[in-house]
This record gives sequence, structure tokens and C-alpha cells, in this order.
Amino acid sequence: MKLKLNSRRTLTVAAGVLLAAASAFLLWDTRGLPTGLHGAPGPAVWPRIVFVVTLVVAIYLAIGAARTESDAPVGSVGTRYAIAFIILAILYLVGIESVGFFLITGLFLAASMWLLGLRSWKMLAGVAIGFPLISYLIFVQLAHTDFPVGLLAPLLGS
Amino acid sequence: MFEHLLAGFAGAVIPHNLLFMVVGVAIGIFGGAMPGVAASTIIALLLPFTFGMPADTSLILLTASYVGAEYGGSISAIFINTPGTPGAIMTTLDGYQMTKRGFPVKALCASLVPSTIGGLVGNIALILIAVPLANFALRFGPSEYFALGVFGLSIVATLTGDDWRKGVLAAGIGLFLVMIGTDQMTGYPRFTFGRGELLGGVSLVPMLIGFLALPEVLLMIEEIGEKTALPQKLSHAFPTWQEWKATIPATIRGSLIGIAMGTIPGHGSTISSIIAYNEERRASKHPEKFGTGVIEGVAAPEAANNAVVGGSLIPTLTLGIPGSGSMAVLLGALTLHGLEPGPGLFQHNADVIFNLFASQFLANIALLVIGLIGMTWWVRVIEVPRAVLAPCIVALCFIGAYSVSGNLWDVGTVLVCGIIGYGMRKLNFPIAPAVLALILGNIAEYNYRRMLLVSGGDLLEPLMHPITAIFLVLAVITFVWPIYRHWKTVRRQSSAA
Repeated sequence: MKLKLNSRRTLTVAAGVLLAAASAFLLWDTRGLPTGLHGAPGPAVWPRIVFVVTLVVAIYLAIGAARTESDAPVGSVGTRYAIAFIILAILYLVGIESVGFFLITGLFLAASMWLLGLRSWKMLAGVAIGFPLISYLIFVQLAHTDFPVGLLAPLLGS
Repeated sequence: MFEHLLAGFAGAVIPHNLLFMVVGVAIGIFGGAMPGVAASTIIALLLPFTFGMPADTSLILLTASYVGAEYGGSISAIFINTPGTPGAIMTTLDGYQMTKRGFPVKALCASLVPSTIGGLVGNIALILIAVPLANFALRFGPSEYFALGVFGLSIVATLTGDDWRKGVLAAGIGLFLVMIGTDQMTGYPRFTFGRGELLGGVSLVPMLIGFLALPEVLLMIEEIGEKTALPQKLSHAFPTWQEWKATIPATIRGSLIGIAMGTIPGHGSTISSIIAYNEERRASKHPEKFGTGVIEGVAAPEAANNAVVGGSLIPTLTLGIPGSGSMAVLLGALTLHGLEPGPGLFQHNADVIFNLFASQFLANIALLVIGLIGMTWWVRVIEVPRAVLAPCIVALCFIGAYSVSGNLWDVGTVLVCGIIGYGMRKLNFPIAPAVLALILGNIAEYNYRRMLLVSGGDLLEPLMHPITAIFLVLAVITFVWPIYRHWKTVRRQSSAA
């Protein structure tokens, strides 16, 4: 039988297995923590209670999902857009320090609006320039919060 | 109490509090009207902006936006048959039918006025119940707080939708995230994996923003191709006197249901509006007309979902137990401002609390005024392209998370929690239990340990305290009952098939 990846059943089973493995690992990780200190439960006790429960429930979910979950697809064309958008958001995060918060925000806005099908240059430019500008005025000029300025350092100061 | 309340009104009408209250209501309506943007998302997005504000102003802004969002959700429900917030789900049934018949303004009035009344009644209940309950809760010790925390966590079963296991695992994710960092009682680092950045724990605000706002945006992107078409040829007629009269009992019943449901953790605006709609249909002389554009069918759920605001503030403020994602964010705001949720809040920060009570009252009046002024204007919000809205929300999340502590790690937390939340939503794992666990995890754990420290390691003795025992029994019932009911339904369905 061929394993269908884009299936609610497969992905729920995978989620169950992943959560069970994570619970087991975290349970194992508590071995270095004391179970009791000065007559009170130590920092290991609560995590052990929680992860034993999640381990059991995750295994139960994985087994149950394999039997009863539907085989309907989870992802669609829209999911691809969402994933592409996540990649843009990761690049946005990575570029904050080096490019500067406001410049990278404008670039992210323009790129993601383009990705999502917006083709009006007026709208693209308006939002990509206007949003960071308003954010700069609110957060930097009014709230005096420091943001990384990156490439705009010569213009805005470090 | 009356003197405190008068002082609260004096505090609420200070220009900056008044301004942020009005701004909060307007942002709430604006955000609530956008399909896919829940009230909790709006509050989570606003949270970082409140960082530099005084605590009372911050709470006023957040709760006012909650009031606005609960009404705002009905705008898209009425115009495009899509609830802006989950609480407006029942408004689509008759509200959209009224629009199809050409009377959207009647439907909007039938939503706005009962929403205002429901909100006001909910606020009165909040004032009357919260203070005595907080005084009572002052007697609570570690065992009672532990039981309360467990009771709060037990409501995951009511928030799980069709599979309780997913709710428990979602809560487990939240509990794990709050365990990360230095143990408050012993100083031992837990689950930091050698990373110094994790010693202080994972910041609450970025986690809340990540779990609540980002998954909504990603799901919004998935539906980006769908266009929202507004109906043409609309009448601007207001309801007739006969129609207004019909909304009065519906508003009263809806408000009472909203308050009752709001006070029960886990029973938010969605459940209350469903119950209010069904009760209204049951009480009606013409139940068969429900779903065809009956004005009571709009009034009852809308009164209920706004009354929930006051109702849900009762356990949140007095006991520190949030009943929903929105309330969890509000508790996050309290802790962000160094205030400890629970009965102590009424003792040490009574001014903040009574300012909030008074401003809630004014926020509902502002809702009526702003709602009436913008009655036909708000609908334009629905036409904002999602291709613009989604990236702007993400940028707002990042800027907001960074502005709280000036730490890039927090922006990463938003993204990681957002991606986890999106995966959870795609596989029907509910987000609310994870968010509740972020707030309740520490309450349950540290009071459990303190309880055993006080009792010298004896587990049974503290659990036999009457209030502790009652909360634990309630926790068991709250957790087991929905699972049992679901199991029974599945069994009935499978035997019928």
C-alpha cells in the first residue's frame, strides 16, 4: 500500500508519533533534575506528570488516527502560498539585524503582497513605504523604541 | 464599592483613557469586521502597543477592543455571510438573509443595539459579582489555587472540538513552553538545552501573538483567491417600532445567557451565541421563520456575545482563570504590567479594576455611537484585499514583539509559535488549550509544589479542603462530561450507520 502524504490520517499519525517522541525525550531530559528538595516536590515532578500524560495521549492519538481519521487531503493550492509566505517571513526575520527593521519590513510587504497576487504598483508602493514609515513614527519617534537600522544607519543613525 | 466605582468613572474619563477607549472600540469594530480576524487576535496584536502605557489605560484599550470586535464580527456576517469573529456565527443565519432581502441597516441595528445592551448588562453583572467573589477568593491558599489551576486546565475538553486527545496535547505544548527556563522555586534550569537565552523562559507576549495571530493570517492566505462580493441595491431603512419591540425580549434573554456562559471558563462567545439563538427560536411563536431573516435571530446571539465580555472578565480578574484566548491575552497584559491576576488585584490595585469597570460601561456607549456613525462605512473594511491585510498583520506581529523587549529572539518566538499553531490548525488541534496552558501552567505547578511544601509532603490532607475538593470535582466533571457526551454521540452515529 502506497503511503499518501497529503492525508489527514497520515499527518495526524505523524503528529501523534512526533509528540510521543518529544514527550519521551523531554521525560528523559528530566533525569538531571531533582525530584524533591527540602520536603517539597522538585522541578522534575510537574514535567514528569505532564509528559507521562502527553506521551500516553499522543500514542493513543496516533493509534486512533490510523484507524479512524479520514484520508482527506490537508494541503491545497492555498497551502503552497502559505508555505511560501512562511519562507518570506523567515527571510524577514533573518534580515532584520543586517538590513534593518524598517527597510526589511518594506521589502517583506512588497514581496509578500506580490506573492499573494497584488499587482497594483500604487498599492504595492503605498503599503511598502507607508506601513514602515508609520511604524517608524509610532515606535521610534513616539514610543522611543530602538530598532535595528541596518543599511539605513547612515540615514537614521545607529 | 460605590465610592470606588465613582472614582473609577473619574479615572475612565481622563482624556487619555477616554481616547484609548474610543480608539479600542474603533479598532475592535474594524478588526472584527475583517473575516478571519478573531477578537483574541486583535487583542494579541494590540498587546505590544500597550507596553509603555499605564496599566489601567492598557486594560481599557484591550477590553474596549474586545467589546468592539464582538460587534464588528456581525458586520461581515450580515453583509457577506461570513462571521468576522467566531461569536458572530449565528448572526449569519438571519442577518445575511435580511441583507439579501435588502435590509442590511435593519440587521446592523438589530446587532448594534442588543450588542450595546448585552455589553452593559454584562458589565453590571461583572461589577456586582466580581467584588464579592474576589473577597471570597482572598481565603484561598496554595491548595485552592492548585485546584483552580487544574479546573482551568480541565476546560480543554470543552475547547477541543471533535477530539479531546488533540486538546490535551495542545495543552501539553503550552505547559511545556512555560516550563522552559529557570525554575522559580529552586533556581534549576529546565529544558534550556544549554542556551542562555532560554534561562529567563520564553516570553509570554510573543507566544500569545504567535499562537493567536499568525495561524489566522496563514489560513487567510489559503483563501486568498476567494473574492468577497457585496450585495447591490441596499435599503437604508431602520427597524420599525414593531421590529424594535420584537428585539427586546430577545436582547434580555441573550444577555442573561451571555453572562452565564461567560462566567464559565471555556464557554466563550461562540457557544453563548449558539445557545441564545436556539433558545430564542424555542421561545418564539414562529420558530419556523428563523433562518429566513428574523430580527430576533440577530438580536439574541449579538446580545449574548457582547454580554460574554463582562461575564468572562469575572473569573479572569477575580480568580486569574482565563476562560478563552482573549482573556488569556488580557491576563498576559496584567502580568506585563507587573499586576498579579486574582483576588489580590482587587486589594492592591482597586483603582485599575474600577477604572476598567467604568470604562467598560463607557465603551459600550461608545460602541453604540461609533457603530451608528459608521454603520455603512464599516462595511468597506470587508473590501480591504487580504493580500494587503495578511502581510501587514505579520509585520505588525514582528514589530510588536520586538518593541516589548527589543529582543530578536522574541520575533523568532512569534514565528515558531505561529508555524506550530498553523500546523495545529491544519490538523484540527485547537489553539485555545495551548494558550490557556501558557497562563495556567505556572499557577497549577507552583501552587501544587507550595501546597505539598506546606503540608509536609502529604497529598491527601490539602486536597480534602472543601473549596479545593469542590474545584477538583468540578475539574473532573468538566473534563470528563464533554468526552463522555462526544463518545455517546459517536456511538449513536455508528450504531445508526
